[in-house]
Amino acid sequence: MKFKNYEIKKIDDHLFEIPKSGSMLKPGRVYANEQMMRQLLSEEEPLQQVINVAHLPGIEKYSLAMPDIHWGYGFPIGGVAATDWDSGVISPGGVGYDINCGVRLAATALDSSAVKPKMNKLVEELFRTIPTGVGASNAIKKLNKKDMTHVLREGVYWVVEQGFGNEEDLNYIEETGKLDWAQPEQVSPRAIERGQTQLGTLGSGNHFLELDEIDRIYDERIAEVLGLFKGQIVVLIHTGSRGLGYQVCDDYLKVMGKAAQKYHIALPDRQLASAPINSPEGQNYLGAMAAAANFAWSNRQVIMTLAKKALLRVLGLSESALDFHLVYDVSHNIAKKEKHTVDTNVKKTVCVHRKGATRALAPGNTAIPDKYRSIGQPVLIPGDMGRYSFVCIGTQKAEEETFGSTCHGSGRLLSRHKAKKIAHGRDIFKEMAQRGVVVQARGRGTLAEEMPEAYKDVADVVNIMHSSGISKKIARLRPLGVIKG
Amino acid sequence: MKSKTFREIEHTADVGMEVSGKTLEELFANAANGFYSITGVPPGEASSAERYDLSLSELSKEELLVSFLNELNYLLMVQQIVITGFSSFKIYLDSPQWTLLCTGAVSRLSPQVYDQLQEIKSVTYHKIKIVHQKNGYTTQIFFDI
Repeated sequence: MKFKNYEIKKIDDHLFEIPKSGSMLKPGRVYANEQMMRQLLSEEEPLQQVINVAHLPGIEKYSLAMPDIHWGYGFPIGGVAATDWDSGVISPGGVGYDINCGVRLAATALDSSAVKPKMNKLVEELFRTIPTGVGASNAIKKLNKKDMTHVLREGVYWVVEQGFGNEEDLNYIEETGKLDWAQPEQVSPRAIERGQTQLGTLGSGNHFLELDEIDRIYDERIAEVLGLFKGQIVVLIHTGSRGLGYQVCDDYLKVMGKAAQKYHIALPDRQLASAPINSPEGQNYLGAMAAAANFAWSNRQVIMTLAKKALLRVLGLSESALDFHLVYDVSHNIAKKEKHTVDTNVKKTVCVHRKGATRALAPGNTAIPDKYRSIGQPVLIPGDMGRYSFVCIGTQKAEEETFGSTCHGSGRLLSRHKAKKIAHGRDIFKEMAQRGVVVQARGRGTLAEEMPEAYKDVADVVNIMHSSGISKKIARLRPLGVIKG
Repeated sequence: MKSKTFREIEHTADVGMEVSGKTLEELFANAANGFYSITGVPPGEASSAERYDLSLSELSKEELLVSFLNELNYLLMVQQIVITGFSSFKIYLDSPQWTLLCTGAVSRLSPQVYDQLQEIKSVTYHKIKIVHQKNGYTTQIFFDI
């Protein structure tokens, strides 16, 4: 197999290598099957972006891509790279515009048979309660600047203090919903302005809130530890830091463009603009990015609390009968200081960039909450709104091979334009209802753009990581009710 | 709004456009039209006599175009206003900086129109390269949706 002048090496059935060549500092590695790889070879961008990332100063081991790899900006979506903390760089292109876009899973004690007859009403109430769409705002009272400093610095700890959820929730969020190196003072006034009305809002595009039923369990023992059972009603939330995060990324892409010149960092793509981690520019970006990440976790925390209240109102149940609780919350657009084995048996501090990739820590890792430590970190992989999403678990192999990372979703198959063209004249609401999914969406074109056939089958992606031993499938979720932007 | 001075480029997840103009100023104004078309802003004249002044400086023409469109995106997404009918449009090199000065007419969007817009997270630097040919200037621009 050849991509441009690069001879692609097949490592095994699910892993391909782009050998180090030219000015690449490390090889590239792509988790994919033959069919996916052939598709990637026919495209210009994704593999070139894997190669470009391999030029980042201080990159360790490999420029990695998960099987949901597709064209991003700077990094491909599905890209993972770790840079040496002392001598490497940080790149906003390795995080993306939607800082700490991520997924949260909350479970209930309810069986789907009891809830299905009320699905229309539930979706209606969720849609009424949780603002969606381009201008989604004012889910809760507008935050003043002091409140914003709290949420950016303290993350979910602060929103819990304000009555959104409880302290127990903190245990079940990556980094407990707070990166303590956040620096709100490095977030621009414009970014803060954008965030003031957006806490507790879903936004648009592929963001969603779903009521799902667990329709398949792959590992009973682990599912039991996670508190998941067949037929159970769960809530899946996918959103991020909204306009605040986009603005932070914009602001720092400008800063990094100048920093790359200042520090003589030559990179093949302007979107990869970087600064040394230990430079003022690198530290300021890390501080602002962490603040935006704290905002995103807080956003999902508020949305979850609003969803719980909506469920209680419609179902008329007591809190104990509903038993609504957070299972886990993961980020899939972030850069973090972590320790990983780079050379044999030597743990090194690195900056792991995950751009459309999910942390997937092995059993025993102390970053995993006590309740789940023996089984590994829960990983949440959303699919399209008509088929299914997956709950997986991290493995030792992920820590050895991918800096503890796995895939994050399915990736688009059709462009938005093509999806709208195909959907023209069709009643997608009705089609979804025929599949047993009640949908409410704000935007005229959203439903067409987001219809199931516009996406790849997420099972293909999840199965590659399962077969590779990077993350293990535990449960499958089937959507019953969806709200979108 | 005119639609011949830009065309959409297919992108699986996002949206791109190719835009041209006889002068740099025209290229930027056409890029603004293309941006508004992609976001779904309905064509029309300014709804008020209100004017908005823009003044930006960057180290390259490309960075300036990204900043200009990101400014329009901020005004659209946050202030819910559209800037059209640019006048006194000037782009010049005052080494080492490229500077843009212009004035536009302000239209305020109704909540119904605003609600149906295509959200653009940001204007990207991906593949942006302003090329000067004999008929004027041309470039590609990609938007993260």
